Amino acid sequence: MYGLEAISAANGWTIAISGVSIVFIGLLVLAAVMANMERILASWDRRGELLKAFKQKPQEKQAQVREAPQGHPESQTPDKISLRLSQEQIEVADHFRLITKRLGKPFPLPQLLEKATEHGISNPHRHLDTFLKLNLIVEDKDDRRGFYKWASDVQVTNSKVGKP
Amino acid sequence: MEHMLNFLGNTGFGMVDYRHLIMIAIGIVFIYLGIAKHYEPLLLVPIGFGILMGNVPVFKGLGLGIYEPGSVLSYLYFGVRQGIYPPLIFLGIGAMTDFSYMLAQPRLMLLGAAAQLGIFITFLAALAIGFLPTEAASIGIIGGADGPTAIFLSAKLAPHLVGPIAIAAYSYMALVPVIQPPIMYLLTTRKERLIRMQDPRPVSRREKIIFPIIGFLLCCFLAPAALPLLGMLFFGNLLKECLVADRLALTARTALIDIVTILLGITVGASTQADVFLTAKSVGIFLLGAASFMVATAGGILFAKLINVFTKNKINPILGAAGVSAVPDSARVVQLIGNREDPSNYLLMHAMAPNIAGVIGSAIAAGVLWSFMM
Amino acid sequence: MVSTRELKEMEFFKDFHESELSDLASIASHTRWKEGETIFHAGTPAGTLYLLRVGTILLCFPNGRSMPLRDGGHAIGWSSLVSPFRYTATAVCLSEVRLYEFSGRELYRLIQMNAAFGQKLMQKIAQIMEQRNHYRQGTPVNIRQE
Repeated sequence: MYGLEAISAANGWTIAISGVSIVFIGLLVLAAVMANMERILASWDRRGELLKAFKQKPQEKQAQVREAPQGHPESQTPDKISLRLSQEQIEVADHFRLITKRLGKPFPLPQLLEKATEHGISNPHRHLDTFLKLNLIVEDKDDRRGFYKWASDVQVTNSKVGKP
Repeated sequence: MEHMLNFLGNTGFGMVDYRHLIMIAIGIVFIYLGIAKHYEPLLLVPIGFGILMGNVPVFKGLGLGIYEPGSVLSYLYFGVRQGIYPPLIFLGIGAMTDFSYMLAQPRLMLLGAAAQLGIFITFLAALAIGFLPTEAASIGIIGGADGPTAIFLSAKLAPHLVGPIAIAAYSYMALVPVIQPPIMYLLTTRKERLIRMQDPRPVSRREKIIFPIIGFLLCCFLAPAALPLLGMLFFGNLLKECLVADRLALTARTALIDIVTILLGITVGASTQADVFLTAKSVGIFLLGAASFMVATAGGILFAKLINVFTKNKINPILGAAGVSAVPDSARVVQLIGNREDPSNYLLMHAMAPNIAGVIGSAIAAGVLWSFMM
Repeated sequence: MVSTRELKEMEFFKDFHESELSDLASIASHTRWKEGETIFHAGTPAGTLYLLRVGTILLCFPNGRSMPLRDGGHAIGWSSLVSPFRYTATAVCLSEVRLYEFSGRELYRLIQMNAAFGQKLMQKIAQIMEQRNHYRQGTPVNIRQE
């Protein structure tokens, strides 16, 4: 037996409709009960409270007054910030400048690292980290965020010699 | 010489035929999928190896095969045959699941209910193509996307089909990210997929403790045959939420579920022998299983759209796909599809609600089918 | 072994309860990377969330943009939890880096077990995605050759 005949012979329609209905009713009733559970529990709590002599202390919410952060006195920013780097760092920075000249302005850091590695510069990642920390290389602004440029207000000096 | 020939005749090499080799290849594929592709490895690796164990040719009468009384595999398979392992897995699932996703948004539970349409429509389709009612019910439950439920029901109603049904169920569960998205795109518009859901409310500890008790009583009064599965599911959840039985909850969701998963996987795999698996019925089971998943996905989505006709507070209809209770894979698929349309729309938390409700719904459906077939 | 105390010190986890931190600590592990190493590549399947403890990582996006992350509990690898489930950037170590590593699968298991935790974590992820959105989505700019 096949087809609709087989379904009817096995009471398939009854089973399917009953089954779907039971699953729906089960979850519907469960959903309805749980949807109201919060309210039921709140009512239960209130009923318990009414039966006892109850004093409610109002909770004082202390308004947190945020003190304005201590403003740092404005320091006179010099036209150029002097950065002392080691000889190795100066050489690497110069090499980086050569690379970024070709990459354009602003430049992408991953390509800078890639080229630096190709050119055999030692520890380019560490040096880049240092230059970023010292704000020798800074992020560009607005829609150019994520690309970088050399800081224009920084003057690099040799930490040993003291000359740029 | 004669002894040597006798010995060789009794080895696997002497007794093997092409069907054993095909099944062994299938077992190896399952192991490969589990290990190399990370498709449900906790299930496919034990099942795959079990297939290897079950299809090594052995001399019948030595008490080695899974269907031979007194064999080790037979004793281990007892847990499948008698429907012991699936409820224990549900205990672990209950102990590892936070139901507050569902409690915070109870209306999403209905999407879990709607997804169970796949079970009953597949049941009808299986009857129509000539399966017996007990077989059709066992095949239909694949659409519940719940491995333990599928194994539980087929062990009760059609024990000879446990192997192919389990393999079909777990295979399709692993393929949820492939099966569901096309249906989700087909049945929803971009505007619907962009619907944002309200943040769920916080759920109190009391509600989380009361829910498993009420849920168990309501569901099992309605469908008593679902008692073994739902009883364990809600019990596990109560152990988790009550906080005074942490050790038991921890054991249930770690050691216990892992032990049972190992035994279930290996014995289901071993029970999948060539004479049962390499048949036209298996092809029918796999085709109907796929259809079952698709109909379940469609059912959940369409029901969500139906709810939206009557409510102002719209539901993102792709959440209906999460009613297919492959936890948490179908919830992740909903998250993926929702994110594709709007990267800032996070649907995962909302999708967990119908996902978990689907587990309850499929267990109720299994109980209903079992009671009708008794 | 990662302790709860260690995670508590991370800015990323400041809103999390003791029990949640304990669960996180149980799935966390320490990992160490050397300067120049790549933690993950953009486009590869994302299976792990990382939290930066010490060091500097450069997140490099396919559109050429990049952002350095330095110390302070920055999270990377959020794609292990949200689509596209493939890393959207390449993470390169600019210095020796120490991270906490969390398996995406294990995090999902914790999310399944605890809705409040899941909500908090996803909100944190959402904040990170918002902060990095410009870098991810931004179109390549016209670069002037000097």
